Amino acid sequence: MMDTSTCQETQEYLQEFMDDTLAPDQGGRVQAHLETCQACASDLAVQRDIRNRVAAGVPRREPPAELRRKVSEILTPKEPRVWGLLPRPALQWGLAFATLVLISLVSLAVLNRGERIPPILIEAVNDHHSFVMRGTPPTEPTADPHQVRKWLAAKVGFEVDPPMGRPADLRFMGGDVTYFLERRVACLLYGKGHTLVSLFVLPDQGVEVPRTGFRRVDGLEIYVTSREGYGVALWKKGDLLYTLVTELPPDELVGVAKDMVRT
Amino acid sequence: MFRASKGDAATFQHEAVKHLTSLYNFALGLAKNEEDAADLVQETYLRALRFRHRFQPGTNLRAWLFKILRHAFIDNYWRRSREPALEDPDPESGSATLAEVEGVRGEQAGPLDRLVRVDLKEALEQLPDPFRTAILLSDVEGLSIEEIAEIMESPKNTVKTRLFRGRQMLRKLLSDYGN
Repeated sequence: MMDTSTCQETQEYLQEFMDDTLAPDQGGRVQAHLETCQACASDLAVQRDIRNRVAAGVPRREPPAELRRKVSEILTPKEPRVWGLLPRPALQWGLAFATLVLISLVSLAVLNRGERIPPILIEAVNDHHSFVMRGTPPTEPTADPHQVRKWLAAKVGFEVDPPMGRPADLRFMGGDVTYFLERRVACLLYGKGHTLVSLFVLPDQGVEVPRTGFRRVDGLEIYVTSREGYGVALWKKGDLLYTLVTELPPDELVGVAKDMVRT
Repeated sequence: MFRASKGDAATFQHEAVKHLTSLYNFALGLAKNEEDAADLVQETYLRALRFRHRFQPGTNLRAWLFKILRHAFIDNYWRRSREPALEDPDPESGSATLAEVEGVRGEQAGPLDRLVRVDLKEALEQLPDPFRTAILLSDVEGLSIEEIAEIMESPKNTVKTRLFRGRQMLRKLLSDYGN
């Protein structure tokens, strides 16, 4: 007669038994049971057989040389860029020191007020950084905003009209989709010279935004900040939240944001 | 800007690159083609570098990197989803949702009889993602139950169940191959 409790214990610790990580007394009990229970012994045989076949049958492949090169490039420290410029060392250190002072002051102010950084800012900057580092075209590469509007509607479930800014100034490159704050987010990608501009659009429902720091620019409410070397602008229009991320200098960032808000 | 010392950065990078082959092979198992696997690995290292400050030296770097790769795979799935479900998914519709990627549907998979008999590579590809992930991490990469639980952000018992059932499914798929 099968001892169900011992079958249960055996089933529960079968993986550890196979890995030989059970304590001696427990391992001994499982071993003893396996010697008397055909069902559990059969299960063990199957598990071992498949594990061995997978271990032997899945070839171990070396990464291609090109991938090694790209990973090496990613991990090699790069010359930091500040607001799209390549600074000379003296300017770089001066800017770094000034930034350090500014960040310290801002951090103290924020800590004193108990404010935290809204996740939307963190996520948007992270995704923009990924776009920058990847350097690949968007999933829907096109200069036609109508095409992207149609493509995005099918992907994200809400309507997004790509704001075009000043076409002579800002080049529309296409659309993409990302996922953060537990929702799909529309990404619109633009180029200004050699600088990438990312605009993330998502429904504002339930999204935490900064409580303070919005400024009135030509009658429009825009939040402007910087994070990890990128400029960020955020505004609300209708029931959608727009987050712009770029390495453009602050005045250009505000200019692009203004043009987009007005579209 | 607050940065770790150059020595810390160099050590991190030196250690991180050691796991490139393992990460690439895991990515191949998830992504099923070389190009996507390479993209996934690059994305992993980009994110690892970006969030390096969140890694605690002395803890399991390999598990940390595998976790990042798995997250990148899931995020990438969203980017490429052709038929996103805008409402609760119909299991028969063929469209996929995050729940399906995470294996809610897979864990409720139907009888093994419905699975098509194939070779090992195809059999692994047919497994729902959570089962395939657990088996790749355990049987190919040799990670422990604890490490797999950390990477998949699941309880240990869930990992053990996925391994057990995943191997059962594989056995069924492989049992009559070649006959």
